[in-house]
Amino acid sequence: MNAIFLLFCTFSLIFCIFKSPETALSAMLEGANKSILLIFSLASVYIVWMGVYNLLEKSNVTSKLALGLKKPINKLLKNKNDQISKLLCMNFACNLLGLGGIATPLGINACYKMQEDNNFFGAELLVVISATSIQILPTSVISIAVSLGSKNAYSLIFPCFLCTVFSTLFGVVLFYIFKSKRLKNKK
Amino acid sequence: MKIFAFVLPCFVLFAFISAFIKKVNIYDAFISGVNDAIALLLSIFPYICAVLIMNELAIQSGLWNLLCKLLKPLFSLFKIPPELTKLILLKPLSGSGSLAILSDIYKNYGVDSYISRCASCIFSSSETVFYIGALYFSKCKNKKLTTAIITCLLSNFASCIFACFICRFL
Repeated sequence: MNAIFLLFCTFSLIFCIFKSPETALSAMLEGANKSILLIFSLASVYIVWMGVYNLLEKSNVTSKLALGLKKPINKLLKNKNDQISKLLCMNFACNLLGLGGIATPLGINACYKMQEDNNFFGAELLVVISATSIQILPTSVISIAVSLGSKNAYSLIFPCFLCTVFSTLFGVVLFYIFKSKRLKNKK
Repeated sequence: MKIFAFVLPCFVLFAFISAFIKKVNIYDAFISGVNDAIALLLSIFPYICAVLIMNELAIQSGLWNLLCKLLKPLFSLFKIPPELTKLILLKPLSGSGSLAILSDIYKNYGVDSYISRCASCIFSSSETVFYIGALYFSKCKNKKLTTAIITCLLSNFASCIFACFICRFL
C-alpha cells in the first residue's frame, strides 16, 4: 500500500501543480469529507450486524452455518484455525448475497487473525476474492436498470453472474501463479 | 427480488431465537458485539481517509483523465467499446462515482443497449479494489498488498474483456 499511496499522490500532486494548484487542497479536503460521511454510514451497518453476529457466535450457530462452506474455503485459503474459518464462511456468505457492508468487518477480523496465524497467503487471497466480487445477484445494477425503465433487466442476471465467476476464478488462478513463482525464486 | 426483503428480518429473528434457546445473555452479547464494532470503526477510519483522499486527488487532478486517454487504444485492441473506458477505470477507485457513471451510460445509450449491458456486467463483476485492500489489511501489521492488488486489477480487466465478449451473444 505504501508504494501505491506514494505513487498516486505524488503524480496527482504534480498534475495539480501544473494544471490548477487550487484544486489540490480542495480535492484532499473533499476526500476527507467523503470519508467522514462514509464512516458514519458504515458505523450504523457495522453496529447492527456485529451485534447480531455476536448473538449467532455466542449461540454457536455460526459454526453450524459454516459447515458446508468450511472445507473448500479452508483448503483454498490454507487455513487451519477453526475460529477463523467461522469468520471466513460468514464473510463469504455475506459477499455472495451482496451484503458487502456486513462482510467487511468479518473480513477485517479474519485477515487480522490469519496474519497472527502466519497465514499471509490466505489473508492476501481473501482480499483478492473479495475485491473481484463474488456477488451472485447483481441487485444494485438491476434496481437501477429497472428504475430507468429497462424492459428485460432480469436478463442481466446470467451474464453478470458469468462475469463475476470469471473474474474471481481468474484472480485466484493468477494469484496462485504469482505466489508459486515467488516461492521458486526464493528457493 | 421481493423474497430478499424477507430474508434479512427472518435472519435477524433467527439469531435472536437461537440465542434465546441456547440461553445466551442476549443483551450483553449484543452490547459486546457493538463494542467490537466501534473499536473496529476507530481502527479502520484512518485507512478510509487515506484511500479516499488518494482517490479524490487522482480524479480531480486530471491524472485519471490522462490514464483514460492513454489506455483507450489498449481497450479498443481488446474490443472494449471506448465509451466504457471511464467506468472501467473509475470502478477500482470509487463505488459511488462509478455508480453515477453507470447511470449516465444507461441514460445516454438506452438501458437495453449493448453498451449498457456490458457496463452492467463490468460494474457487477468488479469491486473498489484499493478500498477493500486497505480496509481488509487495516488491522494487520504486515501491509504488503502489492501482489493482491495487481492480481485484482488484472482480473477485473480480464473480466471486462470477457463481459464485452459474452454480451455480444447474451
